[in-house]
Amino acid sequence: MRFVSYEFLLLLAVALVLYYTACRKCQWQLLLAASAVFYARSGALHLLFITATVASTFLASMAMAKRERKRERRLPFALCLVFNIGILAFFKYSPLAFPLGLSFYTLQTMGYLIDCYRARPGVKPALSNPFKLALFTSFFPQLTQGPISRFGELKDTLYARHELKADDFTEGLLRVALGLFKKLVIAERLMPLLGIQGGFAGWCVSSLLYAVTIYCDFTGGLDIAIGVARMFGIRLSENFDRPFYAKSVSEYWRRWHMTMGSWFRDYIFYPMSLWKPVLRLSKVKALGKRAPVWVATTVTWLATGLWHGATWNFVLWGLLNGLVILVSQELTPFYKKFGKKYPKLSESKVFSAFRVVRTFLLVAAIRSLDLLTLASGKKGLLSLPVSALIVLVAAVLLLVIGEHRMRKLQNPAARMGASLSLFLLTLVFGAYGAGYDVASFIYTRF
Amino acid sequence: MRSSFLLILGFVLCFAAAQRLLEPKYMTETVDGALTAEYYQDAGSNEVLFVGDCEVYENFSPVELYREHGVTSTIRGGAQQLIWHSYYLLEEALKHETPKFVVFNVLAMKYGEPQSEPYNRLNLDGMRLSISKLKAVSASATKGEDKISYILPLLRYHDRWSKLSLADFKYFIQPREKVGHNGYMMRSDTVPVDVVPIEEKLPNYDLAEQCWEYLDKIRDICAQKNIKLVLVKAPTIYPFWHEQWDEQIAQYAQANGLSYFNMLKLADDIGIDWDTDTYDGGLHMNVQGAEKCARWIGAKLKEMESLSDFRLDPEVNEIWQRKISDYERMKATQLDELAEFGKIQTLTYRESEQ
Repeated sequence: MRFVSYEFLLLLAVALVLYYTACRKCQWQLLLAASAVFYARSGALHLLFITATVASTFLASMAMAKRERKRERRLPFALCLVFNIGILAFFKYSPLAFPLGLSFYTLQTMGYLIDCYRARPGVKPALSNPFKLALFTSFFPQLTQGPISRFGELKDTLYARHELKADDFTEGLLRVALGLFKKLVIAERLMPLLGIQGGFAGWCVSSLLYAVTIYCDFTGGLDIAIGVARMFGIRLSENFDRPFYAKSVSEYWRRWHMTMGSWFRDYIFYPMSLWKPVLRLSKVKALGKRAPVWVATTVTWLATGLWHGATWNFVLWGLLNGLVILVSQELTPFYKKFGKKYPKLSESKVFSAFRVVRTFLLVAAIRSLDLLTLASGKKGLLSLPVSALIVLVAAVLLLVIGEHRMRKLQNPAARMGASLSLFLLTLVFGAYGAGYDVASFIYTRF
Repeated sequence: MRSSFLLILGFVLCFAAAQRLLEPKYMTETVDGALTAEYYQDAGSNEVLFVGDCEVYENFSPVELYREHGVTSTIRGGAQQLIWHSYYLLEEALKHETPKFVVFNVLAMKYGEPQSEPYNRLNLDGMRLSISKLKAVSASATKGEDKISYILPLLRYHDRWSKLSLADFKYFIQPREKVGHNGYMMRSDTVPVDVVPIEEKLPNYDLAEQCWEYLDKIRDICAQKNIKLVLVKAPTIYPFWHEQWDEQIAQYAQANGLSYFNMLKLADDIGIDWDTDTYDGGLHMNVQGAEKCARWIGAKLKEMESLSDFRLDPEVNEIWQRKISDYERMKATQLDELAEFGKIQTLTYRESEQ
């Protein structure tokens, strides 16, 4: 089931009405049922795999709960981890249809599994009800493209009873409206233009267009997910914090797909950095004290690349990101010296703007590797009619100027007004319906 | 709460305005699309209802039928109106009026499945929202068509924002002009038949099961309302009407006690001159041909059942005299345009005021 479809709208409407009326005493069970419908409509066979993930994770967590020593927990933990990563790897490398949201829910449940493994002796597993784990794994707004929630952050809001509140509802509605606007007015209009053509200049243009497209596509999808959850009174983690204002690549990655970044940081980077064999590398003179950071960063970004796709361009993309971050870290003393020598310049707005633009271009250039596999057409920017170009520019400007302000609106009526205006603009200027094939969100393919 | 209500009301009004602006007006091109919506202006007290595709709305002139026989009639026809379109349009029309005759043109029997979205739109866009419309959409939609957009046309036509013309703004404010004269779309130009099509052999001449089912439904609904159903095949050279199809229709008519006229075979009897009575080489009649067909079918219907002569009813006659006046004015305009420009330009008109 796609977010941009009548059936999703129907599912949402029915679920919302029942959630706040007939099913007020069984709200989380209703959400689980809605999630099952959502997932089943995307492919009944895929239900098998998500059920396997839930069942294996639940059994492993229960088995670990019975064992006091960490060493004793290792077997169920490892078995479950290998089993689930195995499913993910199998589908990443096989030509079979990729189950919807597999990458996302695998990370989310494996995060839960690792938390259970790390739990102190005597602490019960967080969930003794498998259906609650099923909801945590499959909560339908976040199932297809995140955010990748942590159990600790989500449990209090996911299973709690919620009353209908104007604040929650209008905030959610505004996020949904923003998401649809980004997806249908901007991303869908740009999508057919993506492709490598016209030599270096064409590549530059395509890279910039792709950066805007993927931002609108991915954040659009996330806005819908967060907005829908919010309408149910559930707060999901934010996944973006104005990433194109970042002044360095590492800052960019702290602002872009934040839940994925923190997952890889907490479950791969830190354990890897603190792993004894890696720590020992710092004692090897030829490698230097920062060797563990280099190794952990490289492994983390290699894993990030592989998580995105099993093709070489994603591996290269991951490694390039890691390399740029490492080089940037190595140059930190140089930047500090520069800052001391030219304090006015380094603190000036012009220099900040330069850093923002430089980071944007660098990230766009690295990300352009995606174009080799994601490009859906090669029509070129000039194939766009002038009127469509005007709408596109106006929409991007509206987003740059208005998105942050709209999200800060405090008054429910103002939020409602903004939402309805965005819906209307999207209905008229959106690229959907006959003549368009509203593609799935790019990140649902990962 | 009050502000939410006002905001939602504002949204609905803006949505409706955007929809009105962006939906096609069928006033400058493919004017045939206006006919479905125009029916509601002419519905009410007609004794004959013609139903079918372009072979009815181009080939029968209700104004001439009235002028010659005093019989009131209207046409519920549209471009490539398939039999399920016809059935649901008829079903809906019979909620507005109960004529004595329904004259159904059988050409659509050759199409066993939905053909194309543009023709669905031409036939169904103008239909008022009703259960019949929902059923018509469901029966007609081709693969991948967005059925909900027949109820909310903005979802289908939103992309016209970049193609808006002056006419869209004009008819956003003003009421639309009329295309049909009780459903008849007038063409006064003449292009004689110069090539007679050669019959192409078909692997199978059986008319589709689905078409028979809808023909049964048309027959049943007419029987329920005590309306006489008459089947006709209008006199056109194209598309080729196979003898095998004709036999199947004739057998059906005989089996069900219906009258069936293949007017192509009766062209001499009707008085059709293929050099002067068609405007596109035999595909459709021009106004002269349509008037001949109307006079002929009027006489046939009167032979079957006594029909009122509304020329004797002052109230009805006054209405129809205005229709005749509009009709003649348009005919004169088209003939003037033909003389001056070599082609007709006027296909719409403003109705005379009462």
